[in-house]
Amino acid sequence: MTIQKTSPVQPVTLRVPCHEDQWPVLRKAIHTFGLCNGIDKKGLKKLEVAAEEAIVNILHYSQASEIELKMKNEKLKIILTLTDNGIAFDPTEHVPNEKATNERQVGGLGIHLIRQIVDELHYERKENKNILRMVKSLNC
Amino acid sequence: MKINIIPNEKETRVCLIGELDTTVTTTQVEDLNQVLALADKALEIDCEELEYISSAGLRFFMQLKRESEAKGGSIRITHLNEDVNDIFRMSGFHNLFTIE
Repeated sequence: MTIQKTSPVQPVTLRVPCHEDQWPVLRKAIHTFGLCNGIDKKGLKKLEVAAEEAIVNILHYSQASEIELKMKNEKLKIILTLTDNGIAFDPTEHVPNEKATNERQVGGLGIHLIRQIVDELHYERKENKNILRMVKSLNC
Repeated sequence: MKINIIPNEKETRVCLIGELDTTVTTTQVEDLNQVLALADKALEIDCEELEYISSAGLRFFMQLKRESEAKGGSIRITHLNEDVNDIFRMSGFHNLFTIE
C-alpha cells in the first residue's frame, strides 16, 4: 500500500479476511497512516495498542468472514472505523473495568485499554454489521 | 521478539527485546514458556529494549506472576520505557508488580 505524503492524507480503506494473521497487515497500515498524518511516536504506539485490542477481539471472537478498516484524518483527529459482519458485540456496553487489581479483572483489559487511549469510542449495529469507531486526537 | 536469559547465582535476568503483542504470544509460545519455566527463581525482567506491549503481553506478565507466586519465586521489572510504562499504568499493572 502506498500513501502519498500530503496533508491531510486521503482516507484509506482496507478489507481483509477475518483471520488472525491479518493483524500485522492492518497494524502496518495504521502505522503508515499515522506517520503520514503527523501523529507523534508516543501517540502512534498507543493508537496501535487500541487498534490491536479492538481488531484482535474481532479476529478471535466475532466469527466474521471479513473485516474492514477505514482510516481518516478529520480536524486533526485520526478516526479508525472497524466494520465486521460477525456476531453483535458492543464494547461500549462492556461493564467499565477498573484497573486490574487482581487476576480476575484481566479479562476485560483490552477494552479497558481502548477506553484509556482513545478520546471517543462509538458503536453501531447496522445491517447485521458491527461498526466500531475510535477517535484519537493528533495532539496527544 | 527476542528473549535473552542470563542466569546468575542470586537472580536470573530475562531481557525482553522487541514487541510483546498478540503475534508474539501466539507464535512464540515456546520462547515464552522458557521464561515461565523459570518462575520458581528470583527474576529480573529487564524491559530496556521492550518497545511495545498490548493486553496479550500483559497477560503473559500476569501468568508469570501467578506461577512465580505458586512456586516461591520473585519478579522485579526494570528499565520500562515510557510507552510501555504508560500501558502498565493504564492497566493497573504497576500496582501488581515491583517496578524499578
